[in-house]
Amino acid sequence: MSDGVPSSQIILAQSGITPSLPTPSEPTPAPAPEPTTPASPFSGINPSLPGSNSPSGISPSLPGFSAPSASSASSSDTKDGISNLNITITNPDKLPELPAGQHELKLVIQDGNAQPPADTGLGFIEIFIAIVAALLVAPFIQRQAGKWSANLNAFQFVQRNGVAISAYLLIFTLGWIIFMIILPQLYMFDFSFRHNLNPSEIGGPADTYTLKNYTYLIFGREGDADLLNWLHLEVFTKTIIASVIVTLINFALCYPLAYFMAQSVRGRNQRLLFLCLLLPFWVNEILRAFAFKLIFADLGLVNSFLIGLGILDQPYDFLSANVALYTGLTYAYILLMIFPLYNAIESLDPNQVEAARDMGASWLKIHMRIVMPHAKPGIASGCTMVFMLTAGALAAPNILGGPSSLWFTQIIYQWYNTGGNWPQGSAYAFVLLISCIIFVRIMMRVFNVGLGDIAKR
Amino acid sequence: MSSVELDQVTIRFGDFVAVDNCNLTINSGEFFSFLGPSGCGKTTILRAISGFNEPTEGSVRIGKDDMRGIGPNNRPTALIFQNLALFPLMSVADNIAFALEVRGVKYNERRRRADELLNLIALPGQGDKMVSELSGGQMQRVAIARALAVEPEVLLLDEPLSALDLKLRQHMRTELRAIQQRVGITFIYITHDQGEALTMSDRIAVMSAGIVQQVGNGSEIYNNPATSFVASFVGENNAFQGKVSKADGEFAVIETSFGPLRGINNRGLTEGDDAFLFIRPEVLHPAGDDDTEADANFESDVIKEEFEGSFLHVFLRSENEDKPYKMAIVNDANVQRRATGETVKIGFDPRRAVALPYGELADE
Amino acid sequence: MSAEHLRKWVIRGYIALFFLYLFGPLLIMSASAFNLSSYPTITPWEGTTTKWFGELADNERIVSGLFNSIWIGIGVVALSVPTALAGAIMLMQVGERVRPIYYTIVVSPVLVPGVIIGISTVIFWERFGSIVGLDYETTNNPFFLTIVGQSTFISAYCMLVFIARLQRFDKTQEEAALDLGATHVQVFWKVLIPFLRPAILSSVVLAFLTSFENYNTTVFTMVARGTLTTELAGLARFGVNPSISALAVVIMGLTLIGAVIYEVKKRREEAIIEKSKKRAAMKRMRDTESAAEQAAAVSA
Repeated sequence: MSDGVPSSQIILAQSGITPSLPTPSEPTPAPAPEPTTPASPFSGINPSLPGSNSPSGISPSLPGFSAPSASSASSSDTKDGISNLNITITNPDKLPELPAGQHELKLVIQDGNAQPPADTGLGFIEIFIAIVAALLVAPFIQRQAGKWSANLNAFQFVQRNGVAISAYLLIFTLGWIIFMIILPQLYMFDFSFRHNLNPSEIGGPADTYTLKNYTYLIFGREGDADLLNWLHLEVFTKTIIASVIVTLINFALCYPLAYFMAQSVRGRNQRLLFLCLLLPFWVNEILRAFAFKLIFADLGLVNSFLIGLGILDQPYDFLSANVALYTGLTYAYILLMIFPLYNAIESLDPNQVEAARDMGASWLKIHMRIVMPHAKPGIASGCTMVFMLTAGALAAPNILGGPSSLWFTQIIYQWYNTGGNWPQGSAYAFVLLISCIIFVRIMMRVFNVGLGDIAKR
Repeated sequence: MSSVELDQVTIRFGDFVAVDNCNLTINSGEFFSFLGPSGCGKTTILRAISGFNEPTEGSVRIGKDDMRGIGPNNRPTALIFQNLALFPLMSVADNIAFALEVRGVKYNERRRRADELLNLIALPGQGDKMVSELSGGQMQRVAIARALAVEPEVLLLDEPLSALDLKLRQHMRTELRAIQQRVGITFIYITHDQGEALTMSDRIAVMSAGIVQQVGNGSEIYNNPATSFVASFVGENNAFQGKVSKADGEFAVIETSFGPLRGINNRGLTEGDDAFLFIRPEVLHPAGDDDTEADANFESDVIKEEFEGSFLHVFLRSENEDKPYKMAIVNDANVQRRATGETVKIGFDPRRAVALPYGELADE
Repeated sequence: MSAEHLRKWVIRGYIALFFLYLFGPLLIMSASAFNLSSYPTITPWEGTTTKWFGELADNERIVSGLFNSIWIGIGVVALSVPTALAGAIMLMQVGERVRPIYYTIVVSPVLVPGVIIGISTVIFWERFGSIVGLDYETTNNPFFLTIVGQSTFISAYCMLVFIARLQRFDKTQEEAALDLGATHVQVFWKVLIPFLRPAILSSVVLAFLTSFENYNTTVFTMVARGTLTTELAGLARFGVNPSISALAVVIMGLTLIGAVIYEVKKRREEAIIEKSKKRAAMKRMRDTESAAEQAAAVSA
């Protein structure tokens, strides 16, 4: 600082990540006029950075940074202020992997001396910490009122468990509930309503609430030609519908076997059967998905088989046609469908089936009127789990999905990685969560089961 | 030193009163029983003495020390649970020595003490067996040995014999009494079986619906019950209902549907009171010619007779169709069988009949 | 009779096809590990080789991913098993009215898609760290985030295991131990934990295996690093050569060995139970026989 240069630093240069830029993609704001004021954080590339006379104080003598060749100052809405900006990468191994192509990049210039700004994002979390603290204190208050003394008596709790154990129980349970279950979800919910800001901007004036992350799903980018965001909406609907279909196929596939196992097989054979079912699922799901990729590949078994039989002349791209994906997804969660079904059917008294057969009922009738109603909790549990895992699947779509098939979770993943828009990703993730919750509620209503029945495996 | 005092102890769970103003003192070295039907509050009192419940009002004192706020692991009591609660994953010796283990006593010392106790309960050398390998009676004794290992001042027993078969139960009654007298500590025993209470205890507290009806030794409770409940719960008794027509001095006369009947009046009944006259089956006898005392006999019809070996039980028509009166005649040479429906004249000694205020009767 | 016959064969055919569907892909994949062809397949078969196994061992990312997976697995076990136990005990003690709410909350991570748990973990800790003033390196450490993120739902799974076992616990044993003078901590370690031992073992195994093979959450929380599973996914997606098949063979081999060991143990346990049952029955027979003899001797 003694050489007259304000102690601004280019964050990217400091961390060593400075990729090369073809063109800047965001309009650049005007530079700060006074050279001695610490530069306020701004995003974008200031084109008017010649030598040490630069008003915003970016000195070419900073390590890893070489001066741009553009010399003219520009206003905030010209795009072509920079024609060439050379930046050197000093720590390439910290660079995230970027496929080739154009990328949006942000160059953040932050003043090292400036204090982090006051945090308005704190308010939300503070409120919740306060609520939680109130919940903890409430039992003591209520004990005075005597109302919930039979339920939440904190004093009795400590007496019953001793101080040390009570502390262990409370710390771990509350810690889990608050810091791993509730707060992260709430924060993600809150986060999904915010702009995509740099860390330094959080709490600053730009940090307001917005609905744009959600509206983006429906309407797409502002200024786009289309009225709606057809691409993402289509992906979303396809994901949901495909998940439903996969669930139904899975159910149809597993129900007969579950019935057979529950009603006809006993003892040693039963355990063997169980083991055979379990075996494939101890193998990593990635490998299982990969196995299907092998089979459906151009040179894979299915194609060779069909070509050999003369049904096809050329290899059929099963992967692009999503056949591989659906087969793989159905396969992935068989276990989760069979076991609840099995448990539910097993509790059925076989005499009922016998009685129905004696009375001359057809197999269809028997299943529809006797077995399935009895197995309702199992069906609900199995279908719910399969749907949610399928809708939320990431591995199988990544490995088995063709270029034309996109799974909703893959879009979320994109927002996090290449898209660099975490709030947007959070909004999409939240939409996925709501869909799953709605599905669970529907299942619970239709099948008349409680949450506990679904969660039991 | 190891006496137990219950001073105005009331225990409430929400609106439900489990124990209502219990006041009694259990003497050091005594075998004291709480007797009553299920739900009368005796288990609650036991848990209050051992420290698992705190009285809502009143205080529990052990050896003059107020036990309020002192947890079960810090009281000089040991509790034998109804299901014994032996530790299934530990051996017999480890079970017995557990109390010593948690106090940091070294292994050799623990083992020695456990062997001593095994001798006391007549299971020498069985220390290494697992609990599951023992019979019911043996498990009982291990539970007692385990409790004695802490050298408690008061031993609390929660219906310990209820799960055993008849023969074993009778055997264990004697055993328990013997152990208590050998070791000399206070035993507080709860049961619904009056036979147990009467044979084992020094004193008994009869309870019903949270209230202590009477405290006394076996013969007091049996011969001189304080309330209708005690009279009907302990042993068999015939209850004649009516109003007091005369109450002078020792006796009271009650107008029943079988005529006026007389009995001892120890509870201050006066004319006009609703009352019961209780006469034990063994006090009733077929009236002979010399049964001329006033208000000391009545007539009834024989419903049936049951020959029980030492007694002949004669069931007589009573006011209540479902509960006939019972007369127990000693099976001696003079015993006469009667025909069903025959009308018999019954006599009794009024000094052995008890007049009590009208009150709840024990359920059969 | 022939309709019955037909039905039997249809059922058998269905089961056969089902298990073909189940095992077929895995067998094919295993076979492709030995095929010379540089693209994993079994058609065409270019020659038998084991070189892909060597390539697998040389793949740095896979190997480092393996170590990461193991460390994370250990961390997840250390965090989620005690948490699950605490959660299960609390469930037993919490009042009647609160219990359904409590249960819904702690079981909810099981029903939330893994990607959402991963995302929310990452953004929450980044934010929380900067608010509370924790070191950036700590809260954004991929290992920390992955362990915390995975434990969120793995604790729920383990808690279900503990609840099942805890429901069969005889509370009077706790009371007896207290009554005999044990402190609460002693009761916990000497009475409760020994009883829960089988559940603890199950939970540890469950937690470790679930953590090891997790993808949806881990791919977000590991940020730029990888576990074996995420590296595998990367390979399966882009860098396709049969070393993946080789890894599949290794994993399936280990699984098979594990399954065989499990089955053998179970068979042995069953045999022991059978033997002790037989012994008890014989003893009973002998007792009644001798009692009958005595009765006969007495009446004679």
